[in-house]
Amino acid sequence: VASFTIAQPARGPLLATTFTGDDLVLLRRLVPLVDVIELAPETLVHSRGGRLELRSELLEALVEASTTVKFVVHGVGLSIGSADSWNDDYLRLLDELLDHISLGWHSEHLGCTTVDGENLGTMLALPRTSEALDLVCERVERLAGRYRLPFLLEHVAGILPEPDSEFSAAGFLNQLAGMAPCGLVLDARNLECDRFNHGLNIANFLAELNFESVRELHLAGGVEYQGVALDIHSRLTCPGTRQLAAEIARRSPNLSLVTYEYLKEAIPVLGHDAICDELELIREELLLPHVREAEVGVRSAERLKA
Amino acid sequence: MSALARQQRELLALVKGRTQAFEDPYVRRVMVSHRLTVVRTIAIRWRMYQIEAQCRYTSRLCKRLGIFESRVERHFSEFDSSPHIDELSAQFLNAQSDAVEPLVRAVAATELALLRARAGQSDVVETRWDRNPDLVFRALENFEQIPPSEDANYLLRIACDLPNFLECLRLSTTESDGVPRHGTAAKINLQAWSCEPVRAPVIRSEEWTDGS
Repeated sequence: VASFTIAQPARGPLLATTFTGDDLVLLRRLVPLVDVIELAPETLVHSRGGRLELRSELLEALVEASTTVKFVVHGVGLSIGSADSWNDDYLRLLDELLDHISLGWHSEHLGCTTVDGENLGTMLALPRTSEALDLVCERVERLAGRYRLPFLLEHVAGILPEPDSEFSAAGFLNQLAGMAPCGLVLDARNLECDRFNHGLNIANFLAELNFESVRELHLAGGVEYQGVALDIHSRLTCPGTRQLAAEIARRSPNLSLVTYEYLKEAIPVLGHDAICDELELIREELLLPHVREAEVGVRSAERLKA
Repeated sequence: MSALARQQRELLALVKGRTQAFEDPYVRRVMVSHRLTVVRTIAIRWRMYQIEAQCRYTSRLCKRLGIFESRVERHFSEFDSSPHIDELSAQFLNAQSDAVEPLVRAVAATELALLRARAGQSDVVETRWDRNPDLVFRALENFEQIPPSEDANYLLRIACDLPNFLECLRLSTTESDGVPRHGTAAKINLQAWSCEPVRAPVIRSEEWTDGS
């Protein structure tokens, strides 16, 4: 399947949302509302003979939808930050998916989900050290050699106490995007979680970050649980999250995609209508201002030309 | 071993609740943090949701016996607990097929065999029961009283080529070796239990709220 690249649209970023399998009725409702669907290969699988494989009925639905929307992959299972090894099974699923549909890009979390091949049951944020930086950069280079696709990394909201760091949160991302062939996904909810859990100064973070590398922006809703803010994707977005996302969008000259994320386990609680309404709200609040700005720019240019 | 590798190995042991000496100063800090409890609680509760959705009979029985949460927690700690629902279900049912409680063993082994038969695996599995398995599954399905053990033995056969994947024989006590003898083993009518697993567990709305 031929690949394509999501270029930075002149009329502002595109709108995307999650599809994590099972609910094909929802997929059909989402397709007309968004430009891009975000997929996580490991959520589209079943086990057959002790081996995980992509579910054929989901692949068929995605191929059908590909006439209307584009796709990106946002994985959770690569474990790019595991010191011992990344997860080859994840890449096998990505390869299988690429045999059926084309992707604008693929992305992963800057974290660790397995240790010595054993699943942690959670995703650990990486310590912001030179060792972790070198490890991830080397793996991003390998991914660039393996796939002719842009690759992005997303900072992870940490729950555990922060380890000692050599870099600031933004400084680490700047180093990473400067040293390795990758862009960044910035998640507004993750930043809010880090502010709540670790006292991240978001204003300083935004002031320090090189926004040239930010290609995708994530929004999600979460909850607080026992005094800890969770990036659990179980809710609609809060006004504060959208406000922060709008600020990130304003600062990101190469932003191509704004993605609302939710877990499939949250669908029965949220409901299809609420998810669709949320997408319309995000388009109205975050994307249409860019479109209007672009239109004003075009009209000004035309006036100058005349 | 690199500092990162050592730290991650020790964090794995910590999150899994395994006892060992921790050398990394950061890991020792995590060990006494309330946040570690939160991470473990989320990981275990997530697995409980998944198992409840995919292994409904075994989880319902374990809940009745008051052992569900501890079994899931033990499974998470002792095994490489898969994040994939199909693998996790098979792992959990497999572990419960060796449980000390005979009824848990029988229900888990049957449920595991049903999952495999539905997935097209051709092996034939037989499970032994001290009460009518049909009544047990119906009771679990409808949240009713589980029937007591009988002075009889039942043999439940699970295979992908059987109607509803199941066949049940009531054996007389003299046939407890499991070999049904012509004329004495009675075939039990089985209700087609609603066995189709729910693929995606649901985050209940009252959960994951502040202070719960």
